[in-house]
Amino acid sequence: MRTTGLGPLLLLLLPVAWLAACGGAPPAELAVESPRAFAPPGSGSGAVYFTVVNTTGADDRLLAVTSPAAERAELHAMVEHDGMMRMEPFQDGMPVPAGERTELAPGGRHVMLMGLTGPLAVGDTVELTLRFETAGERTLSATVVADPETAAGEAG
Amino acid sequence: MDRLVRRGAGVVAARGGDVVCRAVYAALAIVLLVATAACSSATDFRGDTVEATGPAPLTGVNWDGSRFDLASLDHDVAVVFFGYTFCPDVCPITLARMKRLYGELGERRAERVAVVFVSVDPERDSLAKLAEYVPGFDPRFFGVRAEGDELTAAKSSFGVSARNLEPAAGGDPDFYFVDHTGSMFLLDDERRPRVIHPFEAELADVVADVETLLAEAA
Repeated sequence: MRTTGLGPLLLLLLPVAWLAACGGAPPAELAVESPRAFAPPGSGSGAVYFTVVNTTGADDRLLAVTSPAAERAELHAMVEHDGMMRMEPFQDGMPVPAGERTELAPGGRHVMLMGLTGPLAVGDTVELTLRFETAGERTLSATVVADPETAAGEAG
Repeated sequence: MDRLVRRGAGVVAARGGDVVCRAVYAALAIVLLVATAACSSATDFRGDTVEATGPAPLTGVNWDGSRFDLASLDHDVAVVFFGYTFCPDVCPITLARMKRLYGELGERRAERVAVVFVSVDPERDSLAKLAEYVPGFDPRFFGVRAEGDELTAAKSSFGVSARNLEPAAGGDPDFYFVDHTGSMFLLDDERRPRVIHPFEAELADVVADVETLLAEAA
């Protein structure tokens, strides 16, 4: 019981330590978390999922994605259309509102890799360049996972 | 329910004017209620249940080149869904979920469940492509290719729609999407569709309904 009681106490102290370190406010930035890629053999396509955390204080927009792993990369949302599932490309980029975590996840939004330039196996990494309207470019490496719903993704 | 039982007992009391009779009828009413509840829970599915229908015909060619006929499978339960290999999200996510379904059922029960992926895109999904794609998830899965009237018949068996979209102007003409029904259809041992789960269903609910159908077939 004594050891289990210590965990929550430490968790309570952690934010205090952070506050002391950065003077009370989180750094203003646009970060990309938990990238992971899904590319089943034989498909020729792939999906990349991640979360954009916008603490810049201003709305931004993810305009385009490129990757050396594919001929073409597009930003899509899954929508229901006439009772069917449809992949709908974002026409003017994907909004990344200020103060929000914008999540790309299975069954929701994703980056589609079209025409993979080579086969991808579980454990391989996919390099991506994300171009934001205001924040500029961010690069990230997404590890290929066997099942993106059970793999949380690693910070990158 | 409580009011109904009481009213029923009241009518009996007025007729017979007998306290014992009243109690017996009240007890009977409770027994009936409990029995009804027990009966309905036996066929209580978590997905959308299908009104009584006959077997759903589904034929084509499996990824290994063999002739596929849903009616001739030995499995006690079948899970059928439609998709295409170029699809990066909904289709492979469903296949990955089916792999987890097998894991949750365990080897012995998984063997009794046929997982059937039907391509709505035979133009791009050759048998060679399906052979590279489907067994990558689980070699026990079926990956069915049907064309023309056979595909039309397969889709109409399940009320599935699919529509090819135009490729992006100036882009690769092979890079086009297909809108399609994303549902999973659960069939019993007589190949009748019994339960439908939408793509976004919780896997636990699909597993529970497959287990119910397996218990029915046992």
